[in-house]
Amino acid sequence: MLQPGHSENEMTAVTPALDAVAGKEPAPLRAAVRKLDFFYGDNQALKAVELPIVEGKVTALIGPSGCGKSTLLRCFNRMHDLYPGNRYEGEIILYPEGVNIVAAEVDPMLARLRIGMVFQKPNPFPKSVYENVAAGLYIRGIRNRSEVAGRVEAALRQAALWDEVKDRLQESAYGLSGGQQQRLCIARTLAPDPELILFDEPTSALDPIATAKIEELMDELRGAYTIMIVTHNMQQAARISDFTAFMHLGHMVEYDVTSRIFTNPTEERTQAYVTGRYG
Amino acid sequence: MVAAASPVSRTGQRGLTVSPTFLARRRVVDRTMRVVLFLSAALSVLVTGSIVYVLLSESVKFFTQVSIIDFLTDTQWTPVFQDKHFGIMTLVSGTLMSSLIALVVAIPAGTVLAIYLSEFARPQVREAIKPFLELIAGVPTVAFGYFALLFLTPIFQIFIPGLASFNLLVPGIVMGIMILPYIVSVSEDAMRAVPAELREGAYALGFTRLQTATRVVIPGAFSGVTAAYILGMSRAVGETMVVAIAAGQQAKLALNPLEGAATITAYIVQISLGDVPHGSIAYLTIFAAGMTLFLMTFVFNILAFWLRQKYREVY
Repeated sequence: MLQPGHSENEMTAVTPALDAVAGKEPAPLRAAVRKLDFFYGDNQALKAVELPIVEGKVTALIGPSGCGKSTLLRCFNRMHDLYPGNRYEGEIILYPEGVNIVAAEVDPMLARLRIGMVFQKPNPFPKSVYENVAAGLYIRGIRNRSEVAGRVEAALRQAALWDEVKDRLQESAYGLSGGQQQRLCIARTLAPDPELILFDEPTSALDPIATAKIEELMDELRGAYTIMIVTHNMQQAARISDFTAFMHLGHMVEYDVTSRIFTNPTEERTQAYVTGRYG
Repeated sequence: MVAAASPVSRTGQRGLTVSPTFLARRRVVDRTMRVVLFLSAALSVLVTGSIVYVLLSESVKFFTQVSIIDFLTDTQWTPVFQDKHFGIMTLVSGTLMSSLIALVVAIPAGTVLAIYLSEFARPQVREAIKPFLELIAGVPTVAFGYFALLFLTPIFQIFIPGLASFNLLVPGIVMGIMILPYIVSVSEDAMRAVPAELREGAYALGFTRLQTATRVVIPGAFSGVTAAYILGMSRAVGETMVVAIAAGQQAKLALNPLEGAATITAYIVQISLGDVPHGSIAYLTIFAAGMTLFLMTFVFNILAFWLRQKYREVY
Protein backbone atom coordinates (compact mmCIF):
# COMPACT_ATOMS: atom_id res chain seq x y z
CA MET A 1 0.00 0.00 0.00
CA LEU A 2 1.32 3.38 -0.92
CA GLN A 3 1.58 6.11 1.64
CA PRO A 4 1.35 9.82 0.79
CA GLY A 5 4.83 11.13 0.30
CA HIS A 6 6.01 14.09 2.30
CA SER A 7 9.71 14.55 1.73
CA GLU A 8 10.51 18.21 1.06
CA ASN A 9 13.52 17.58 -1.14
CA GLU A 10 12.08 15.23 -3.67
CA MET A 11 13.37 17.38 -6.50
CA THR A 12 17.07 17.33 -5.71
CA ALA A 13 17.82 14.99 -8.59
CA VAL A 14 16.40 17.44 -11.14
CA THR A 15 19.44 19.27 -12.41
CA PRO A 16 21.46 16.21 -13.45
CA ALA A 17 18.44 14.97 -15.35
CA LEU A 18 18.23 18.19 -17.30
CA ASP A 19 21.94 18.33 -17.93
CA ALA A 20 21.85 14.84 -19.29
CA VAL A 21 19.38 15.86 -21.96
CA ALA A 22 20.79 19.26 -22.76
CA GLY A 23 24.39 18.10 -22.96
CA LYS A 24 26.70 19.51 -20.32
CA GLU A 25 25.07 22.94 -20.29
CA PRO A 26 22.30 23.55 -17.77
CA ALA A 27 18.98 23.32 -19.65
CA PRO A 28 17.39 26.72 -20.32
CA LEU A 29 14.14 27.01 -18.40
CA ARG A 30 10.89 28.51 -19.67
CA ALA A 31 9.33 28.33 -16.23
CA ALA A 32 9.94 26.91 -12.79
CA VAL A 33 7.54 25.93 -10.04
CA ARG A 34 8.99 26.64 -6.60
CA LYS A 35 7.46 25.41 -3.36
CA LEU A 36 3.97 25.86 -4.75
CA ASP A 37 1.03 25.22 -2.45
CA PHE A 38 -2.48 25.50 -3.78
CA PHE A 39 -5.73 25.51 -1.83
CA TYR A 40 -9.32 24.94 -2.93
CA GLY A 41 -10.80 26.73 0.06
CA ASP A 42 -9.43 24.80 3.04
CA ASN A 43 -8.48 21.81 0.94
CA GLN A 44 -4.81 21.77 0.03
CA ALA A 45 -4.45 20.28 -3.43
CA LEU A 46 -0.78 20.98 -4.10
CA LYS A 47 1.93 20.56 -1.50
CA ALA A 48 5.31 22.23 -1.93
CA VAL A 49 5.48 21.31 -5.60
CA GLU A 50 8.76 21.87 -7.45
CA LEU A 51 9.02 21.51 -11.21
CA PRO A 52 11.25 22.94 -13.94
CA ILE A 53 9.79 23.50 -17.40
CA VAL A 54 12.52 23.23 -20.00
CA GLU A 55 12.42 25.55 -22.99
CA GLY A 56 11.32 23.93 -26.23
CA LYS A 57 10.59 20.56 -24.63
CA VAL A 58 7.45 18.61 -23.79
CA THR A 59 6.91 18.02 -20.10
CA ALA A 60 4.25 15.44 -19.20
CA LEU A 61 2.40 15.39 -15.88
CA ILE A 62 1.19 11.94 -14.91
CA GLY A 63 -0.38 10.45 -11.82
CA PRO A 64 -3.59 8.87 -10.57
CA SER A 65 -6.89 10.79 -10.56
CA GLY A 66 -6.96 13.50 -7.91
CA CYS A 67 -3.16 13.71 -7.66
CA GLY A 68 -3.21 17.41 -8.55
CA LYS A 69 -1.74 17.31 -12.04
CA SER A 70 -4.59 19.25 -13.67
CA THR A 71 -4.67 21.58 -10.68
CA LEU A 72 -0.97 22.29 -11.19
CA LEU A 73 -1.46 22.85 -14.92
CA ARG A 74 -4.30 25.30 -14.29
CA CYS A 75 -2.10 27.30 -11.90
CA PHE A 76 0.08 28.30 -14.86
CA ASN A 77 -2.64 30.42 -16.47
CA ARG A 78 -4.41 31.29 -13.24
CA MET A 79 -7.60 29.46 -14.23
CA HIS A 80 -8.31 28.96 -10.54
CA ASP A 81 -8.85 32.70 -10.21
CA LEU A 82 -12.16 32.31 -12.07
CA TYR A 83 -13.69 30.64 -9.05
CA PRO A 84 -13.89 32.06 -5.54
CA GLY A 85 -12.02 30.71 -2.53
CA ASN A 86 -8.87 29.49 -4.29
CA ARG A 87 -5.41 30.47 -3.07
CA TYR A 88 -1.83 30.09 -4.26
CA GLU A 89 1.28 30.13 -2.09
CA GLY A 90 4.76 29.85 -3.49
CA GLU A 91 5.98 30.67 -6.96
CA ILE A 92 5.67 29.87 -10.61
CA ILE A 93 8.48 31.81 -12.22
CA LEU A 94 8.11 32.64 -15.87
CA TYR A 95 11.40 33.28 -17.66
CA PRO A 96 13.22 35.16 -19.16
CA GLU A 97 12.33 38.03 -16.82
CA GLY A 98 11.57 35.85 -13.82
CA VAL A 99 8.14 37.15 -12.87
CA ASN A 100 6.13 35.13 -10.35
CA ILE A 101 2.85 34.64 -12.22
CA VAL A 102 0.89 33.34 -9.23
CA ALA A 103 1.73 36.32 -7.04
CA ALA A 104 -1.43 38.03 -5.80
CA GLU A 105 -0.37 41.40 -7.19
CA VAL A 106 0.21 40.00 -10.69
CA ASP A 107 -2.76 40.31 -13.04
CA PRO A 108 -3.96 36.82 -14.10
CA MET A 109 -4.23 38.29 -17.61
CA LEU A 110 -0.44 38.50 -17.77
CA ALA A 111 -0.20 34.74 -17.56
CA ARG A 112 -3.14 34.12 -19.89
CA LEU A 113 -1.87 36.44 -22.60
CA ARG A 114 1.50 34.66 -22.62
CA ILE A 115 0.50 31.07 -21.88
CA GLY A 116 -1.98 29.21 -24.06
CA MET A 117 -4.20 26.31 -23.07
CA VAL A 118 -5.92 23.41 -24.80
CA PHE A 119 -8.68 21.72 -22.86
CA GLN A 120 -9.97 18.18 -22.37
CA LYS A 121 -13.08 18.67 -24.43
CA PRO A 122 -12.80 20.63 -27.66
CA ASN A 123 -14.33 24.01 -26.86
CA PRO A 124 -14.45 26.13 -30.00
CA PHE A 125 -16.41 29.36 -29.71
CA PRO A 126 -19.85 29.64 -31.35
CA LYS A 127 -18.31 31.41 -34.32
CA SER A 128 -16.83 30.58 -37.69
CA VAL A 129 -13.63 28.57 -38.06
CA TYR A 130 -11.78 31.73 -39.07
CA GLU A 131 -13.15 33.82 -36.20
CA ASN A 132 -12.15 31.13 -33.72
CA VAL A 133 -8.50 31.33 -34.72
CA ALA A 134 -8.59 35.11 -35.06
CA ALA A 135 -10.20 35.63 -31.63
CA GLY A 136 -6.93 35.63 -29.72
CA LEU A 137 -5.40 38.04 -32.23
CA TYR A 138 -8.28 40.51 -32.06
CA ILE A 139 -8.12 40.79 -28.30
CA ARG A 140 -4.39 41.44 -28.50
CA GLY A 141 -5.17 44.46 -30.65
CA ILE A 142 -4.16 42.93 -33.99
CA ARG A 143 -6.74 44.37 -36.38
CA ASN A 144 -4.94 44.60 -39.70
CA ARG A 145 -6.93 42.30 -41.96
CA SER A 146 -4.07 40.88 -43.95
CA GLU A 147 -1.95 40.32 -40.86
CA VAL A 148 -4.82 38.51 -39.13
CA ALA A 149 -5.50 36.43 -42.25
CA GLY A 150 -1.83 35.49 -42.51
CA ARG A 151 -1.56 34.46 -38.89
CA VAL A 152 -4.83 32.52 -39.04
CA GLU A 153 -3.61 30.55 -42.03
CA ALA A 154 -0.21 29.94 -40.43
CA ALA A 155 -1.82 28.70 -37.21
CA LEU A 156 -4.21 26.42 -39.09
CA ARG A 157 -1.31 25.00 -41.09
CA GLN A 158 0.69 24.42 -37.92
CA ALA A 159 -2.30 22.63 -36.43
CA ALA A 160 -2.49 20.42 -39.55
CA LEU A 161 -6.02 21.63 -40.19
CA TRP A 162 -5.62 24.06 -43.07
CA ASP A 163 -6.24 21.61 -45.89
CA GLU A 164 -9.40 20.34 -44.25
CA VAL A 165 -10.95 23.73 -43.51
CA LYS A 166 -9.57 26.16 -46.11
CA ASP A 167 -12.83 26.02 -48.08
CA ARG A 168 -15.06 26.39 -45.07
CA LEU A 169 -13.36 29.09 -43.04
CA GLN A 170 -16.59 31.06 -42.74
CA GLU A 171 -18.69 28.11 -41.60
CA SER A 172 -19.51 27.43 -37.98
CA ALA A 173 -16.81 25.65 -36.02
CA TYR A 174 -19.47 23.28 -34.71
CA GLY A 175 -19.71 21.69 -38.16
CA LEU A 176 -16.26 20.15 -37.67
CA SER A 177 -15.66 16.70 -36.23
CA GLY A 178 -14.43 16.33 -32.65
CA GLY A 179 -10.83 15.80 -33.69
CA GLN A 180 -10.96 18.75 -36.08
CA GLN A 181 -12.49 20.90 -33.35
CA GLN A 182 -9.63 19.99 -31.04
CA ARG A 183 -7.05 20.86 -33.71
CA LEU A 184 -8.97 24.12 -34.23
CA CYS A 185 -8.57 24.82 -30.51
CA ILE A 186 -4.86 24.11 -30.88
CA ALA A 187 -4.68 26.52 -33.84
CA ARG A 188 -6.55 29.11 -31.77
CA THR A 189 -3.95 28.68 -29.04
CA LEU A 190 -0.99 28.83 -31.46
CA ALA A 191 -2.15 31.94 -33.33
CA PRO A 192 -0.98 34.47 -30.70
CA ASP A 193 2.38 32.64 -30.46
CA PRO A 194 2.31 31.62 -26.77
CA GLU A 195 5.48 31.19 -24.73
CA LEU A 196 4.14 28.02 -23.14
CA ILE A 197 1.20 25.80 -24.09
CA LEU A 198 -0.76 23.82 -21.54
CA PHE A 199 -2.52 20.68 -22.72
CA ASP A 200 -5.05 19.30 -20.24
CA GLU A 201 -5.71 15.71 -21.36
CA PRO A 202 -6.25 16.96 -24.92
CA THR A 203 -7.17 13.56 -26.36
CA SER A 204 -9.35 12.11 -23.63
CA ALA A 205 -12.56 12.98 -25.51
CA LEU A 206 -11.28 11.78 -28.90
CA ASP A 207 -11.24 8.48 -30.77
CA PRO A 208 -7.91 6.70 -31.45
CA ILE A 209 -7.47 8.10 -34.97
CA ALA A 210 -8.08 11.69 -33.88
CA THR A 211 -5.80 11.03 -30.91
CA ALA A 212 -3.02 9.85 -33.18
CA LYS A 213 -3.33 13.03 -35.25
CA ILE A 214 -3.10 15.23 -32.17
CA GLU A 215 -0.05 13.33 -30.93
CA GLU A 216 1.60 13.65 -34.30
CA LEU A 217 0.86 17.35 -34.22
CA MET A 218 2.35 17.77 -30.76
CA ASP A 219 5.44 16.00 -31.95
CA GLU A 220 5.76 18.57 -34.73
CA LEU A 221 5.29 21.43 -32.29
CA ARG A 222 8.04 20.11 -30.07
CA GLY A 223 11.07 22.36 -30.24
CA ALA A 224 9.14 25.32 -31.64
CA TYR A 225 7.02 25.56 -28.51
CA THR A 226 7.41 24.75 -24.86
CA ILE A 227 4.65 22.32 -23.94
CA MET A 228 3.17 20.89 -20.76
CA ILE A 229 0.70 18.06 -21.03
CA VAL A 230 -1.45 16.34 -18.44
CA THR A 231 -2.35 12.84 -19.49
CA HIS A 232 -3.89 9.70 -18.09
CA ASN A 233 -2.45 7.73 -20.93
CA MET A 234 0.98 6.44 -20.02
CA GLN A 235 1.85 5.39 -23.56
CA GLN A 236 1.02 8.91 -24.66
CA ALA A 237 3.33 10.41 -22.06
CA ALA A 238 6.08 8.00 -23.10
CA ARG A 239 5.58 8.73 -26.81
CA ILE A 240 5.42 12.48 -26.87
CA SER A 241 7.25 13.90 -23.85
CA ASP A 242 10.88 14.69 -23.14
CA PHE A 243 10.42 14.97 -19.40
CA THR A 244 7.86 13.38 -17.15
CA ALA A 245 6.72 14.41 -13.70
CA PHE A 246 4.87 11.91 -11.54
CA MET A 247 2.50 13.36 -8.98
CA HIS A 248 0.68 11.69 -6.16
CA LEU A 249 -1.72 13.18 -3.59
CA GLY A 250 -0.61 16.74 -4.29
CA HIS A 251 3.10 15.95 -4.08
CA MET A 252 5.65 15.99 -6.86
CA VAL A 253 7.04 12.51 -6.39
CA GLU A 254 9.53 12.30 -9.19
CA TYR A 255 10.69 14.29 -12.19
CA ASP A 256 13.10 12.99 -14.75
CA VAL A 257 13.83 12.36 -18.38
CA THR A 258 10.83 10.47 -19.73
CA SER A 259 12.73 7.36 -20.71
CA ARG A 260 14.11 7.03 -17.20
CA ILE A 261 10.71 7.51 -15.55
CA PHE A 262 9.29 4.69 -17.59
CA THR A 263 12.23 2.31 -17.42
CA ASN A 264 14.17 2.98 -14.28
CA PRO A 265 12.43 5.36 -11.86
CA THR A 266 14.01 6.18 -8.53
CA GLU A 267 10.83 6.15 -6.47
CA GLU A 268 8.93 2.99 -5.74
CA ARG A 269 5.57 4.77 -6.18
CA THR A 270 6.54 5.90 -9.66
CA GLN A 271 7.54 2.35 -10.52
CA ALA A 272 4.22 1.05 -9.21
CA TYR A 273 2.24 3.61 -11.23
CA VAL A 274 4.04 3.34 -14.56
CA THR A 275 3.91 -0.44 -14.49
CA GLY A 276 0.17 -0.33 -13.85
CA ARG A 277 0.29 -1.80 -10.37
CA TYR A 278 -1.24 1.38 -8.99
CA GLY A 279 -3.76 4.01 -10.13
CA MET B 1 -22.67 -9.52 5.30
CA VAL B 2 -26.21 -10.72 4.77
CA ALA B 3 -26.37 -14.07 3.10
CA ALA B 4 -27.79 -13.56 -0.40
CA ALA B 5 -30.84 -15.58 -1.41
CA SER B 6 -30.12 -18.20 -3.96
CA PRO B 7 -29.99 -16.48 -7.37
CA VAL B 8 -31.22 -19.60 -9.05
CA SER B 9 -34.99 -19.62 -9.72
CA ARG B 10 -37.35 -22.51 -10.31
CA THR B 11 -36.71 -22.38 -14.02
CA GLY B 12 -33.09 -23.02 -13.34
CA GLN B 13 -32.04 -19.63 -14.66
CA ARG B 14 -30.12 -17.06 -12.69
CA GLY B 15 -31.95 -13.96 -11.47
CA LEU B 16 -34.71 -13.14 -9.02
CA THR B 17 -38.09 -14.73 -9.67
CA VAL B 18 -40.91 -12.28 -10.36
CA SER B 19 -44.52 -13.35 -9.85
CA PRO B 20 -46.93 -13.05 -12.82
CA THR B 21 -49.38 -10.90 -10.77
CA PHE B 22 -46.59 -8.46 -10.02
CA LEU B 23 -45.84 -8.18 -13.71
CA ALA B 24 -49.54 -7.81 -14.56
CA ARG B 25 -49.97 -5.02 -12.01
CA ARG B 26 -46.98 -3.15 -13.41
CA ARG B 27 -48.46 -3.45 -16.86
CA VAL B 28 -51.84 -2.09 -15.78
CA VAL B 29 -50.32 0.87 -13.94
CA ASP B 30 -48.13 1.62 -16.94
CA ARG B 31 -51.05 1.57 -19.36
CA THR B 32 -53.34 3.64 -17.12
CA MET B 33 -50.68 6.26 -16.64
CA ARG B 34 -50.12 6.43 -20.36
CA VAL B 35 -53.82 7.20 -20.91
CA VAL B 36 -53.92 9.78 -18.10
CA LEU B 37 -50.84 11.55 -19.42
CA PHE B 38 -52.21 11.55 -22.94
CA LEU B 39 -55.49 13.07 -21.74
CA SER B 40 -53.75 15.90 -19.93
CA ALA B 41 -51.70 16.63 -23.04
CA ALA B 42 -54.86 16.48 -25.15
CA LEU B 43 -56.61 18.94 -22.83
CA SER B 44 -54.19 21.75 -23.68
CA VAL B 45 -54.66 21.09 -27.39
CA LEU B 46 -58.44 21.05 -26.88
CA VAL B 47 -58.44 24.40 -25.07
CA THR B 48 -56.29 26.05 -27.72
CA GLY B 49 -58.40 24.49 -30.43
CA SER B 50 -61.68 25.78 -29.01
CA ILE B 51 -60.31 29.29 -28.57
CA VAL B 52 -59.20 29.32 -32.20
CA TYR B 53 -62.59 27.90 -33.23
CA VAL B 54 -64.55 30.63 -31.44
CA LEU B 55 -62.28 33.35 -32.77
CA LEU B 56 -62.49 32.00 -36.29
CA SER B 57 -66.23 31.38 -36.44
CA GLU B 58 -67.12 34.81 -35.03
CA SER B 59 -64.53 36.48 -37.26
CA VAL B 60 -66.04 34.77 -40.30
CA LYS B 61 -69.42 36.31 -39.40
CA PHE B 62 -67.72 39.69 -39.13
CA PHE B 63 -66.02 39.37 -42.49
CA THR B 64 -69.33 38.54 -44.22
CA GLN B 65 -70.36 42.10 -43.34
CA VAL B 66 -67.07 43.97 -43.69
CA SER B 67 -64.65 43.44 -46.54
CA ILE B 68 -61.19 42.33 -45.54
CA ILE B 69 -59.70 45.08 -47.70
CA ASP B 70 -61.54 47.79 -45.77
CA PHE B 71 -60.49 46.05 -42.58
CA LEU B 72 -56.85 46.27 -43.52
CA THR B 73 -56.77 49.65 -45.30
CA ASP B 74 -59.32 51.93 -43.66
CA THR B 75 -57.71 54.50 -41.38
CA GLN B 76 -60.69 54.93 -39.07
CA TRP B 77 -62.13 52.60 -36.47
CA THR B 78 -65.67 53.64 -35.49
CA PRO B 79 -67.79 50.48 -35.04
CA VAL B 80 -70.16 52.06 -32.51
CA PHE B 81 -70.74 55.28 -34.38
CA GLN B 82 -73.38 56.10 -36.98
CA ASP B 83 -70.73 56.34 -39.70
CA LYS B 84 -69.06 52.97 -39.23
CA HIS B 85 -65.44 52.36 -40.20
CA PHE B 86 -63.44 49.22 -39.52
CA GLY B 87 -59.76 50.04 -40.08
CA ILE B 88 -57.92 47.63 -37.81
CA MET B 89 -54.60 49.32 -38.61
CA THR B 90 -55.54 52.07 -36.14
CA LEU B 91 -55.59 49.57 -33.28
CA VAL B 92 -52.63 47.65 -34.65
CA SER B 93 -50.58 50.83 -34.80
CA GLY B 94 -51.45 51.66 -31.19
CA THR B 95 -50.44 48.15 -30.14
CA LEU B 96 -47.20 48.21 -32.11
CA MET B 97 -46.25 51.70 -30.97
CA SER B 98 -46.71 50.93 -27.27
CA SER B 99 -44.99 47.54 -27.63
CA LEU B 100 -42.11 49.11 -29.49
CA ILE B 101 -41.60 51.64 -26.72
CA ALA B 102 -41.73 48.79 -24.20
CA LEU B 103 -39.06 46.88 -26.11
CA VAL B 104 -36.85 49.94 -26.48
CA VAL B 105 -36.87 50.10 -22.67
CA ALA B 106 -36.77 46.40 -21.87
CA ILE B 107 -34.31 44.98 -24.40
CA PRO B 108 -31.25 47.09 -23.56
CA ALA B 109 -31.99 47.12 -19.83
CA GLY B 110 -32.88 43.43 -19.76
CA THR B 111 -29.84 42.33 -21.75
CA VAL B 112 -27.43 44.36 -19.66
CA LEU B 113 -29.00 43.08 -16.46
CA ALA B 114 -28.90 39.48 -17.70
CA ILE B 115 -25.21 39.82 -18.63
CA TYR B 116 -24.50 41.32 -15.23
CA LEU B 117 -26.34 38.58 -13.36
CA SER B 118 -24.92 35.75 -15.43
CA GLU B 119 -21.32 36.87 -15.89
CA PHE B 120 -20.40 39.50 -13.35
CA ALA B 121 -22.49 39.31 -10.19
CA ARG B 122 -21.26 37.22 -7.31
CA PRO B 123 -23.76 34.50 -6.33
CA GLN B 124 -24.84 36.43 -3.22
CA VAL B 125 -25.59 39.54 -5.26
CA ARG B 126 -27.47 37.51 -7.85
CA GLU B 127 -29.60 35.86 -5.21
CA ALA B 128 -30.35 39.27 -3.72
CA ILE B 129 -31.43 40.87 -7.02
CA LYS B 130 -33.55 38.08 -8.44
CA PRO B 131 -36.38 38.28 -5.86
CA PHE B 132 -36.87 41.95 -6.76
CA LEU B 133 -37.26 41.05 -10.39
CA GLU B 134 -39.73 38.34 -9.50
CA LEU B 135 -41.58 40.92 -7.43
CA ILE B 136 -41.99 43.11 -10.52
CA ALA B 137 -43.45 40.12 -12.36
CA GLY B 138 -45.88 39.62 -9.48
CA VAL B 139 -47.32 43.14 -9.37
CA PRO B 140 -50.91 43.17 -10.72
CA THR B 141 -50.98 44.91 -14.10
CA VAL B 142 -53.81 47.18 -12.96
CA ALA B 143 -51.41 48.65 -10.40
CA PHE B 144 -48.95 49.33 -13.21
CA GLY B 145 -51.74 50.99 -15.17
CA TYR B 146 -52.55 53.49 -12.45
CA PHE B 147 -48.86 53.94 -11.72
CA ALA B 148 -48.49 55.06 -15.34
CA LEU B 149 -51.61 57.23 -15.43
CA LEU B 150 -51.51 58.93 -12.05
CA PHE B 151 -47.85 58.95 -11.09
CA LEU B 152 -45.51 58.78 -14.06
CA THR B 153 -47.53 60.72 -16.63
CA PRO B 154 -47.77 63.89 -14.47
CA ILE B 155 -44.01 63.71 -13.81
CA PHE B 156 -43.24 63.23 -17.50
CA GLN B 157 -45.55 66.13 -18.37
CA ILE B 158 -43.22 68.46 -16.46
CA PHE B 159 -40.38 67.60 -18.83
CA ILE B 160 -42.29 66.91 -22.04
CA PRO B 161 -44.72 69.80 -22.60
CA GLY B 162 -46.74 68.19 -25.40
CA LEU B 163 -47.50 65.01 -23.47
CA ALA B 164 -51.24 64.30 -23.26
CA SER B 165 -52.81 62.83 -20.11
CA PHE B 166 -53.54 59.70 -22.08
CA ASN B 167 -50.51 58.81 -24.15
CA LEU B 168 -48.60 55.84 -25.50
CA LEU B 169 -45.17 56.84 -24.22
CA VAL B 170 -45.66 56.33 -20.50
CA PRO B 171 -47.68 53.10 -20.69
CA GLY B 172 -45.04 51.85 -23.15
CA ILE B 173 -42.26 52.55 -20.67
CA VAL B 174 -44.22 50.96 -17.84
CA MET B 175 -44.87 47.88 -19.98
CA GLY B 176 -41.14 47.79 -20.61
CA ILE B 177 -40.57 47.61 -16.87
CA MET B 178 -43.25 44.92 -16.66
CA ILE B 179 -41.69 42.65 -19.26
CA LEU B 180 -38.16 43.25 -17.98
CA PRO B 181 -38.23 40.26 -15.60
CA TYR B 182 -39.22 37.90 -18.42
CA ILE B 183 -36.46 39.12 -20.68
CA VAL B 184 -33.89 39.01 -17.90
CA SER B 185 -34.80 35.58 -16.64
CA VAL B 186 -35.08 33.86 -20.02
CA SER B 187 -31.93 35.41 -21.44
CA GLU B 188 -29.98 34.86 -18.22
CA ASP B 189 -30.97 31.18 -18.30
CA ALA B 190 -29.73 30.98 -21.86
CA MET B 191 -26.43 32.66 -20.93
CA ARG B 192 -25.84 30.44 -17.96
CA ALA B 193 -26.52 27.40 -20.11
CA VAL B 194 -23.40 28.27 -22.10
CA PRO B 195 -20.94 25.65 -20.85
CA ALA B 196 -18.16 26.59 -18.45
CA GLU B 197 -15.58 25.10 -20.85
CA LEU B 198 -16.40 27.81 -23.38
CA ARG B 199 -15.86 30.55 -20.82
CA GLU B 200 -12.63 28.94 -19.66
CA GLY B 201 -11.47 28.72 -23.26
CA ALA B 202 -12.07 32.44 -23.64
CA TYR B 203 -10.37 33.38 -20.40
CA ALA B 204 -7.42 31.10 -21.19
CA LEU B 205 -6.97 32.97 -24.46
CA GLY B 206 -6.75 36.23 -22.51
CA PHE B 207 -10.30 37.53 -22.87
CA THR B 208 -11.51 39.95 -20.23
CA ARG B 209 -14.82 39.34 -18.51
CA LEU B 210 -16.62 41.77 -20.79
CA GLN B 211 -15.02 40.29 -23.91
CA THR B 212 -16.01 36.82 -22.74
CA ALA B 213 -19.58 37.99 -22.22
CA THR B 214 -19.98 39.82 -25.51
CA ARG B 215 -17.90 37.60 -27.83
CA VAL B 216 -18.53 34.13 -26.46
CA VAL B 217 -21.47 33.99 -24.07
CA ILE B 218 -23.94 36.11 -26.04
CA PRO B 219 -23.21 34.42 -29.40
CA GLY B 220 -23.52 31.10 -27.59
CA ALA B 221 -26.83 32.10 -26.04
CA PHE B 222 -28.07 33.91 -29.14
CA SER B 223 -31.12 31.76 -29.81
CA GLY B 224 -32.22 31.90 -26.17
CA VAL B 225 -31.70 35.64 -25.95
CA THR B 226 -33.73 36.28 -29.10
CA ALA B 227 -36.43 33.97 -27.79
CA ALA B 228 -36.47 36.14 -24.66
CA TYR B 229 -36.95 39.28 -26.76
CA ILE B 230 -39.79 37.74 -28.70
CA LEU B 231 -41.43 36.44 -25.56
CA GLY B 232 -41.23 39.99 -24.22
CA MET B 233 -42.73 41.30 -27.47
CA SER B 234 -45.61 38.83 -27.23
CA ARG B 235 -46.25 39.89 -23.67
CA ALA B 236 -46.23 43.57 -24.59
CA VAL B 237 -48.55 43.07 -27.55
CA GLY B 238 -51.02 41.12 -25.44
CA GLU B 239 -50.80 43.40 -22.40
CA THR B 240 -54.19 44.95 -21.62
CA MET B 241 -54.65 46.79 -18.35
CA VAL B 242 -51.78 49.26 -18.57
CA VAL B 243 -52.76 50.53 -22.01
CA ALA B 244 -56.49 50.37 -21.29
CA ILE B 245 -55.99 52.61 -18.27
CA ALA B 246 -53.21 54.95 -19.34
CA ALA B 247 -53.27 55.14 -23.14
CA GLY B 248 -56.87 56.19 -23.62
CA GLN B 249 -59.68 54.72 -25.69
CA GLN B 250 -59.41 56.77 -28.84
CA ALA B 251 -58.90 54.58 -31.88
CA LYS B 252 -56.69 56.38 -34.36
CA LEU B 253 -53.46 55.82 -36.25
CA ALA B 254 -50.82 56.08 -33.55
CA LEU B 255 -48.05 58.09 -35.13
CA ASN B 256 -47.23 60.29 -32.16
CA PRO B 257 -46.38 58.51 -28.90
CA LEU B 258 -47.12 61.69 -26.95
CA GLU B 259 -50.82 61.32 -27.74
CA GLY B 260 -53.14 58.59 -26.59
CA ALA B 261 -54.41 55.82 -28.84
CA ALA B 262 -56.38 52.66 -28.26
CA THR B 263 -54.62 49.34 -28.66
CA ILE B 264 -56.32 46.12 -29.75
CA THR B 265 -56.55 44.88 -26.18
CA ALA B 266 -57.78 48.19 -24.83
CA TYR B 267 -60.50 48.25 -27.48
CA ILE B 268 -61.63 44.73 -26.62
CA VAL B 269 -61.93 45.70 -22.97
CA GLN B 270 -63.86 48.82 -23.86
CA ILE B 271 -66.43 46.95 -25.96
CA SER B 272 -66.73 44.00 -23.57
CA LEU B 273 -67.50 46.36 -20.69
CA GLY B 274 -69.97 48.46 -22.68
CA ASP B 275 -73.57 47.61 -23.55
CA VAL B 276 -73.07 46.52 -27.13
CA PRO B 277 -75.85 44.13 -28.14
CA HIS B 278 -74.82 40.50 -28.53
CA GLY B 279 -74.46 39.54 -32.20
CA SER B 280 -74.28 43.11 -33.49
CA ILE B 281 -71.48 44.18 -35.80
CA ALA B 282 -69.81 46.08 -32.96
CA TYR B 283 -69.89 42.91 -30.90
CA LEU B 284 -68.32 40.93 -33.74
CA THR B 285 -65.47 43.44 -34.03
CA ILE B 286 -63.95 42.21 -30.79
CA PHE B 287 -63.52 38.79 -32.35
CA ALA B 288 -61.98 40.19 -35.48
CA ALA B 289 -59.67 42.31 -33.34
CA GLY B 290 -58.92 39.30 -31.13
CA MET B 291 -58.15 37.23 -34.21
CA THR B 292 -55.74 39.89 -35.40
CA LEU B 293 -53.99 39.89 -32.03
CA PHE B 294 -53.85 36.12 -32.05
CA LEU B 295 -52.25 36.13 -35.50
CA MET B 296 -49.70 38.71 -34.41
CA THR B 297 -48.52 36.73 -31.39
CA PHE B 298 -48.68 33.56 -33.45
CA VAL B 299 -46.27 35.07 -35.98
CA PHE B 300 -43.94 36.10 -33.15
CA ASN B 301 -43.98 32.59 -31.75
CA ILE B 302 -43.22 31.09 -35.16
CA LEU B 303 -40.40 33.58 -35.51
CA ALA B 304 -39.03 32.61 -32.10
CA PHE B 305 -39.28 28.93 -32.98
CA TRP B 306 -37.51 29.46 -36.28
CA LEU B 307 -34.72 31.50 -34.68
CA ARG B 308 -34.24 28.84 -32.03
CA GLN B 309 -33.91 26.18 -34.68
CA LYS B 310 -31.60 28.20 -36.85
CA TYR B 311 -29.21 29.47 -34.21
CA ARG B 312 -29.35 26.74 -31.63
CA GLU B 313 -25.82 25.76 -30.72
CA VAL B 314 -24.98 22.19 -29.92
CA TYR B 315 -21.90 22.63 -27.79
